[in-house]
Amino acid sequence: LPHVLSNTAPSSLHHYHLSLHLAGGCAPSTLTAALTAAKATTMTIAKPVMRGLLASQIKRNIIIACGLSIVAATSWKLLVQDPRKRIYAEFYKNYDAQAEFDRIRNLGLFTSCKPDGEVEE
Amino acid sequence: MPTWGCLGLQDSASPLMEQLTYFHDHTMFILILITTLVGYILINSTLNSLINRFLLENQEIEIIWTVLPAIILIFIAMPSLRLLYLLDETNNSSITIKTIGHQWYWSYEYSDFLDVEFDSFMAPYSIDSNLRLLDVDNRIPIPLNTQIRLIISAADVIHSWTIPSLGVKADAIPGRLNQVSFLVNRPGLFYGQCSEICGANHSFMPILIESISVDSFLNWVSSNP
Repeated sequence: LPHVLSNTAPSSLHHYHLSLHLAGGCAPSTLTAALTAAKATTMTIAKPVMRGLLASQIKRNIIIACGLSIVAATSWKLLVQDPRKRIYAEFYKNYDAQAEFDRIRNLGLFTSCKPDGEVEE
Repeated sequence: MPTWGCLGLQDSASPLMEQLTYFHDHTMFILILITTLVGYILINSTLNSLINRFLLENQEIEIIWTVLPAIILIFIAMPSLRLLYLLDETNNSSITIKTIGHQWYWSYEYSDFLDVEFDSFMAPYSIDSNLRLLDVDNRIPIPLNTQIRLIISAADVIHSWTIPSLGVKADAIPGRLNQVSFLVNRPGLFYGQCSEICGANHSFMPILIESISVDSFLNWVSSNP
Protein backbone atom coordinates (compact mmCIF):
# COMPACT_ATOMS: atom_id res chain seq x y z
CA LEU A 1 0.00 0.00 0.00
CA PRO A 2 2.74 2.62 0.78
CA HIS A 3 4.26 1.58 -2.57
CA VAL A 4 0.96 2.43 -4.29
CA LEU A 5 0.63 5.73 -2.45
CA SER A 6 4.06 7.03 -3.47
CA ASN A 7 3.30 6.24 -7.09
CA THR A 8 0.07 8.20 -7.32
CA ALA A 9 0.04 11.85 -8.36
CA PRO A 10 -1.76 14.37 -6.07
CA SER A 11 -4.34 15.26 -8.75
CA SER A 12 -5.58 11.74 -8.93
CA LEU A 13 -5.71 11.24 -5.17
CA HIS A 14 -9.52 11.46 -5.05
CA HIS A 15 -9.68 8.81 -7.75
CA TYR A 16 -7.51 6.68 -5.50
CA HIS A 17 -9.94 7.24 -2.58
CA LEU A 18 -12.85 6.35 -4.78
CA SER A 19 -11.05 3.30 -6.09
CA LEU A 20 -10.23 2.17 -2.54
CA HIS A 21 -13.88 2.54 -1.66
CA LEU A 22 -14.95 0.68 -4.76
CA ALA A 23 -12.47 -2.13 -4.16
CA GLY A 24 -13.53 -2.43 -0.55
CA GLY A 25 -9.87 -2.26 0.34
CA CYS A 26 -9.45 -6.03 -0.06
CA ALA A 27 -7.43 -7.94 -2.67
CA PRO A 28 -4.47 -6.17 -4.28
CA SER A 29 -5.51 -7.41 -7.73
CA THR A 30 -8.98 -5.82 -7.36
CA LEU A 31 -7.42 -2.63 -6.09
CA THR A 32 -5.06 -2.48 -9.03
CA ALA A 33 -7.94 -3.00 -11.44
CA ALA A 34 -9.98 -0.28 -9.76
CA LEU A 35 -7.10 2.15 -9.82
CA THR A 36 -6.64 1.47 -13.50
CA ALA A 37 -10.31 2.12 -14.16
CA ALA A 38 -10.18 5.32 -12.13
CA LYS A 39 -7.21 6.61 -14.08
CA ALA A 40 -8.86 5.69 -17.41
CA THR A 41 -12.32 7.40 -16.82
CA THR A 42 -13.52 10.30 -14.60
CA MET A 43 -16.21 9.08 -12.19
CA THR A 44 -18.24 11.45 -10.06
CA ILE A 45 -21.66 11.14 -8.52
CA ALA A 46 -24.20 13.98 -8.54
CA LYS A 47 -24.17 16.15 -5.47
CA PRO A 48 -27.32 15.38 -3.48
CA VAL A 49 -29.81 18.22 -2.94
CA MET A 50 -29.23 19.53 0.55
CA ARG A 51 -31.39 22.66 0.70
CA GLY A 52 -34.84 23.90 -0.23
CA LEU A 53 -36.46 20.51 0.38
CA LEU A 54 -39.49 21.87 2.16
CA ALA A 55 -39.99 24.65 -0.36
CA SER A 56 -39.92 22.27 -3.32
CA GLN A 57 -42.20 19.85 -1.50
CA ILE A 58 -44.65 22.65 -0.71
CA LYS A 59 -44.66 23.84 -4.31
CA ARG A 60 -45.29 20.32 -5.59
CA ASN A 61 -48.03 19.66 -3.04
CA ILE A 62 -49.82 22.95 -3.68
CA ILE A 63 -49.92 22.19 -7.39
CA ILE A 64 -51.29 18.70 -6.68
CA ALA A 65 -53.84 20.10 -4.17
CA CYS A 66 -55.07 22.74 -6.64
CA GLY A 67 -55.34 20.13 -9.36
CA LEU A 68 -57.26 17.70 -7.12
CA SER A 69 -59.67 20.39 -5.95
CA ILE A 70 -60.37 21.54 -9.51
CA VAL A 71 -61.00 17.93 -10.54
CA ALA A 72 -63.35 17.34 -7.58
CA ALA A 73 -65.30 20.56 -8.14
CA THR A 74 -65.54 19.98 -11.88
CA SER A 75 -66.82 16.44 -11.21
CA TRP A 76 -69.56 17.88 -8.99
CA LYS A 77 -70.50 20.36 -11.68
CA LEU A 78 -70.53 17.83 -14.51
CA LEU A 79 -72.13 14.94 -12.61
CA VAL A 80 -74.62 16.72 -10.34
CA GLN A 81 -75.13 20.42 -10.98
CA ASP A 82 -75.55 20.53 -14.76
CA PRO A 83 -77.60 17.29 -15.00
CA ARG A 84 -79.98 18.59 -12.33
CA LYS A 85 -80.67 21.78 -14.34
CA ARG A 86 -81.11 19.71 -17.48
CA ILE A 87 -83.54 17.32 -15.75
CA TYR A 88 -85.68 20.18 -14.47
CA ALA A 89 -85.69 21.87 -17.89
CA GLU A 90 -86.73 18.65 -19.62
CA PHE A 91 -89.38 17.91 -17.00
CA TYR A 92 -91.08 21.26 -17.44
CA LYS A 93 -90.56 21.56 -21.21
CA ASN A 94 -93.67 19.56 -22.14
CA TYR A 95 -95.30 19.38 -18.74
CA ASP A 96 -99.07 19.25 -18.74
CA ALA A 97 -100.14 20.22 -15.24
CA GLN A 98 -103.83 19.63 -15.93
CA ALA A 99 -103.24 16.09 -17.21
CA GLU A 100 -101.07 15.32 -14.21
CA PHE A 101 -103.73 16.75 -11.89
CA ASP A 102 -106.42 14.55 -13.52
CA ARG A 103 -104.19 11.50 -13.19
CA ILE A 104 -103.60 12.09 -9.47
CA ARG A 105 -107.26 12.93 -8.89
CA ASN A 106 -108.44 9.74 -10.58
CA LEU A 107 -106.12 7.76 -8.32
CA GLY A 108 -108.22 9.05 -5.44
CA LEU A 109 -105.34 10.83 -3.70
CA PHE A 110 -107.06 14.19 -3.24
CA THR A 111 -109.72 14.80 -0.60
CA SER A 112 -110.91 18.14 -1.97
CA CYS A 113 -111.91 16.71 -5.35
CA LYS A 114 -113.24 13.33 -6.32
CA PRO A 115 -112.19 11.01 -9.16
CA ASP A 116 -114.22 10.96 -12.37
CA GLY A 117 -117.41 9.06 -11.91
CA GLU A 118 -117.65 9.51 -8.18
CA VAL A 119 -120.44 11.66 -6.84
CA GLU A 120 -119.68 14.42 -4.35
CA GLU A 121 -121.23 13.72 -0.97
CA MET B 1 -92.00 14.77 0.85
CA PRO B 2 -88.62 13.07 1.16
CA THR B 3 -88.30 9.45 0.09
CA TRP B 4 -85.95 6.80 1.45
CA GLY B 5 -82.29 7.66 0.89
CA CYS B 6 -83.06 11.31 0.22
CA LEU B 7 -79.96 13.16 1.44
CA GLY B 8 -80.38 16.48 -0.33
CA LEU B 9 -83.18 18.95 -0.83
CA GLN B 10 -86.61 17.71 -1.91
CA ASP B 11 -87.67 18.08 -5.53
CA SER B 12 -88.99 21.59 -5.95
CA ALA B 13 -92.59 22.39 -6.75
CA SER B 14 -92.13 26.13 -7.05
CA PRO B 15 -89.87 28.36 -9.18
CA LEU B 16 -88.26 29.95 -6.11
CA MET B 17 -87.38 26.58 -4.62
CA GLU B 18 -85.84 25.62 -7.95
CA GLN B 19 -83.58 28.67 -7.74
CA LEU B 20 -82.72 27.83 -4.15
CA THR B 21 -81.74 24.32 -5.23
CA TYR B 22 -79.48 25.68 -7.97
CA PHE B 23 -77.88 28.10 -5.50
CA HIS B 24 -77.24 25.22 -3.12
CA ASP B 25 -75.49 23.34 -5.94
CA HIS B 26 -73.39 26.42 -6.75
CA THR B 27 -72.34 26.83 -3.11
CA MET B 28 -71.55 23.12 -2.86
CA PHE B 29 -69.25 23.50 -5.88
CA ILE B 30 -67.25 26.13 -4.01
CA LEU B 31 -67.27 24.14 -0.78
CA ILE B 32 -65.94 21.02 -2.50
CA LEU B 33 -63.17 23.12 -4.05
CA ILE B 34 -62.13 24.52 -0.68
CA THR B 35 -62.51 21.28 1.29
CA THR B 36 -60.44 19.25 -1.16
CA LEU B 37 -57.68 21.87 -1.22
CA VAL B 38 -57.52 22.28 2.55
CA GLY B 39 -57.97 18.56 3.23
CA TYR B 40 -55.09 17.54 1.00
CA ILE B 41 -52.78 20.21 2.47
CA LEU B 42 -53.81 19.18 5.99
CA ILE B 43 -53.02 15.51 5.40
CA ASN B 44 -49.75 16.40 3.79
CA SER B 45 -48.73 18.66 6.67
CA THR B 46 -49.54 15.92 9.15
CA LEU B 47 -47.42 13.34 7.34
CA ASN B 48 -44.55 15.71 6.58
CA SER B 49 -41.24 15.21 8.41
CA LEU B 50 -39.70 18.53 7.29
CA ILE B 51 -40.11 21.81 9.17
CA ASN B 52 -39.37 25.40 8.23
CA ARG B 53 -37.14 26.84 10.91
CA PHE B 54 -37.43 30.37 9.53
CA LEU B 55 -41.19 30.62 9.24
CA LEU B 56 -41.94 34.09 10.54
CA GLU B 57 -43.96 37.02 9.10
CA ASN B 58 -44.42 35.61 5.62
CA GLN B 59 -46.18 38.54 4.00
CA GLU B 60 -46.84 36.84 0.67
CA ILE B 61 -48.78 33.91 2.09
CA GLU B 62 -50.71 36.21 4.44
CA ILE B 63 -51.84 38.31 1.49
CA ILE B 64 -52.77 35.22 -0.52
CA TRP B 65 -54.88 33.64 2.18
CA THR B 66 -56.69 36.88 2.88
CA VAL B 67 -57.46 37.92 -0.68
CA LEU B 68 -58.40 34.50 -2.01
CA PRO B 69 -61.17 33.83 0.56
CA ALA B 70 -62.52 37.34 -0.05
CA ILE B 71 -62.79 36.61 -3.77
CA ILE B 72 -64.46 33.28 -3.04
CA LEU B 73 -66.99 34.99 -0.77
CA ILE B 74 -67.86 37.43 -3.53
CA PHE B 75 -68.64 34.50 -5.82
CA ILE B 76 -70.98 33.13 -3.18
CA ALA B 77 -72.55 36.47 -2.26
CA MET B 78 -73.55 37.55 -5.76
CA PRO B 79 -76.09 34.79 -6.49
CA SER B 80 -77.11 34.79 -2.84
CA LEU B 81 -78.14 38.45 -2.87
CA ARG B 82 -79.89 38.01 -6.21
CA LEU B 83 -81.98 35.21 -4.72
CA LEU B 84 -82.58 37.10 -1.50
CA TYR B 85 -84.16 40.00 -3.35
CA LEU B 86 -86.05 37.67 -5.66
CA LEU B 87 -87.65 35.96 -2.65
CA ASP B 88 -88.75 39.33 -1.28
CA GLU B 89 -90.37 40.61 -4.43
CA THR B 90 -93.91 41.78 -4.06
CA ASN B 91 -96.36 40.26 -6.47
CA ASN B 92 -100.08 40.55 -6.94
CA SER B 93 -101.42 37.54 -5.14
CA SER B 94 -104.72 36.10 -6.24
CA ILE B 95 -105.62 34.51 -2.93
CA THR B 96 -104.84 35.27 0.68
CA ILE B 97 -104.93 32.46 3.23
CA LYS B 98 -104.46 32.94 6.94
CA THR B 99 -102.88 30.28 9.06
CA ILE B 100 -102.73 30.31 12.82
CA GLY B 101 -100.62 27.99 14.91
CA HIS B 102 -102.03 26.51 18.06
CA GLN B 103 -100.83 23.96 20.53
CA TRP B 104 -100.85 21.56 18.71
CA TYR B 105 -102.62 22.05 15.39
CA TRP B 106 -102.93 24.57 12.59
CA SER B 107 -106.08 26.47 11.66
CA TYR B 108 -106.69 27.97 8.25
CA GLU B 109 -108.99 30.74 7.04
CA TYR B 110 -109.91 31.47 3.44
CA SER B 111 -111.49 34.87 3.99
CA ASP B 112 -111.42 36.01 0.36
CA PHE B 113 -114.44 33.91 -0.41
CA LEU B 114 -117.19 32.63 1.76
CA ASP B 115 -115.22 32.61 4.99
CA VAL B 116 -114.02 29.04 4.92
CA GLU B 117 -112.32 28.08 8.18
CA PHE B 118 -111.08 24.76 9.47
CA ASP B 119 -108.59 23.16 11.83
CA SER B 120 -105.94 20.72 10.71
CA PHE B 121 -104.88 18.05 13.20
CA MET B 122 -102.39 15.26 12.64
CA ALA B 123 -104.22 12.11 11.58
CA PRO B 124 -103.76 9.10 13.86
CA TYR B 125 -101.45 6.56 12.30
CA SER B 126 -103.00 3.65 10.48
CA ILE B 127 -100.56 1.19 8.99
CA ASP B 128 -102.15 0.74 5.58
CA SER B 129 -103.65 4.10 4.84
CA ASN B 130 -101.46 7.05 5.64
CA LEU B 131 -97.99 8.44 6.27
CA ARG B 132 -96.93 8.43 9.92
CA LEU B 133 -96.52 11.93 11.44
CA LEU B 134 -97.29 13.61 8.11
CA ASP B 135 -100.96 13.05 7.34
CA VAL B 136 -103.66 15.42 8.55
CA ASP B 137 -107.41 15.22 8.80
CA ASN B 138 -108.11 18.42 6.80
CA ARG B 139 -105.73 19.34 4.03
CA ILE B 140 -105.13 22.81 2.58
CA PRO B 141 -106.32 23.03 -1.04
CA ILE B 142 -104.32 25.49 -3.13
CA PRO B 143 -104.97 26.36 -6.78
CA LEU B 144 -102.21 25.46 -9.27
CA ASN B 145 -100.01 28.11 -10.89
CA THR B 146 -101.60 30.83 -8.78
CA GLN B 147 -99.76 33.33 -6.62
CA ILE B 148 -100.75 32.69 -3.01
CA ARG B 149 -100.29 35.06 -0.10
CA LEU B 150 -100.07 33.33 3.26
CA ILE B 151 -100.41 35.28 6.48
CA ILE B 152 -99.06 33.41 9.43
CA SER B 153 -99.61 33.98 13.10
CA ALA B 154 -100.04 32.03 16.31
CA ALA B 155 -102.48 31.91 19.18
CA ASP B 156 -100.29 30.77 22.04
CA VAL B 157 -96.56 30.09 21.59
CA ILE B 158 -94.23 30.47 18.63
CA HIS B 159 -94.67 27.90 15.86
CA SER B 160 -93.25 27.82 12.34
CA TRP B 161 -95.08 27.03 9.13
CA THR B 162 -93.05 25.39 6.40
CA ILE B 163 -93.27 23.38 3.20
CA PRO B 164 -89.71 22.40 2.15
CA SER B 165 -90.55 21.55 -1.46
CA LEU B 166 -91.99 25.05 -1.94
CA GLY B 167 -89.09 26.77 -0.21
CA VAL B 168 -91.40 28.42 2.31
CA LYS B 169 -90.78 28.84 6.01
CA ALA B 170 -91.95 31.54 8.38
CA ASP B 171 -92.38 31.76 12.11
CA ALA B 172 -95.86 31.97 13.55
CA ILE B 173 -95.52 34.47 16.37
CA PRO B 174 -98.37 35.48 18.68
CA GLY B 175 -99.35 39.10 18.16
CA ARG B 176 -97.54 39.34 14.81
CA LEU B 177 -98.48 38.71 11.21
CA ASN B 178 -95.81 37.27 8.93
CA GLN B 179 -96.42 37.16 5.21
CA VAL B 180 -95.03 34.73 2.66
CA SER B 181 -95.83 34.43 -1.01
CA PHE B 182 -95.50 31.35 -3.16
CA LEU B 183 -96.67 29.66 -6.32
CA VAL B 184 -97.10 25.92 -6.83
CA ASN B 185 -96.42 24.79 -10.38
CA ARG B 186 -97.13 21.07 -9.97
CA PRO B 187 -100.27 19.28 -8.77
CA GLY B 188 -99.91 16.91 -5.86
CA LEU B 189 -99.50 16.66 -2.12
CA PHE B 190 -96.80 18.68 -0.36
CA TYR B 191 -95.87 18.05 3.24
CA GLY B 192 -94.36 20.10 6.01
CA GLN B 193 -93.95 19.99 9.77
CA CYS B 194 -93.95 22.60 12.51
CA SER B 195 -90.45 24.03 12.69
CA GLU B 196 -90.31 25.84 16.02
CA ILE B 197 -90.35 24.03 19.34
CA CYS B 198 -93.75 24.62 20.83
CA GLY B 199 -94.31 22.04 23.52
CA ALA B 200 -94.93 18.35 23.99
CA ASN B 201 -96.56 17.71 20.62
CA HIS B 202 -94.36 19.95 18.50
CA SER B 203 -93.49 16.97 16.27
CA PHE B 204 -97.15 16.09 15.82
CA MET B 205 -98.63 19.08 14.02
CA PRO B 206 -97.88 18.57 10.34
CA ILE B 207 -98.93 20.64 7.33
CA LEU B 208 -100.33 19.18 4.13
CA ILE B 209 -101.08 21.14 0.97
CA GLU B 210 -103.17 19.78 -1.91
CA SER B 211 -102.28 21.53 -5.13
CA ILE B 212 -105.34 21.26 -7.41
CA SER B 213 -106.69 22.88 -10.56
CA VAL B 214 -108.36 26.28 -10.28
CA ASP B 215 -111.76 24.83 -11.22
CA SER B 216 -111.53 22.15 -8.55
CA PHE B 217 -110.44 24.73 -6.03
CA LEU B 218 -113.41 26.96 -6.78
CA ASN B 219 -115.72 23.96 -6.52
CA TRP B 220 -114.23 23.10 -3.17
CA VAL B 221 -114.57 26.64 -1.85
CA SER B 222 -118.20 26.90 -2.90
CA SER B 223 -119.02 23.53 -1.33
CA ASN B 224 -117.38 24.42 2.00
CA PRO B 225 -119.11 27.46 3.43
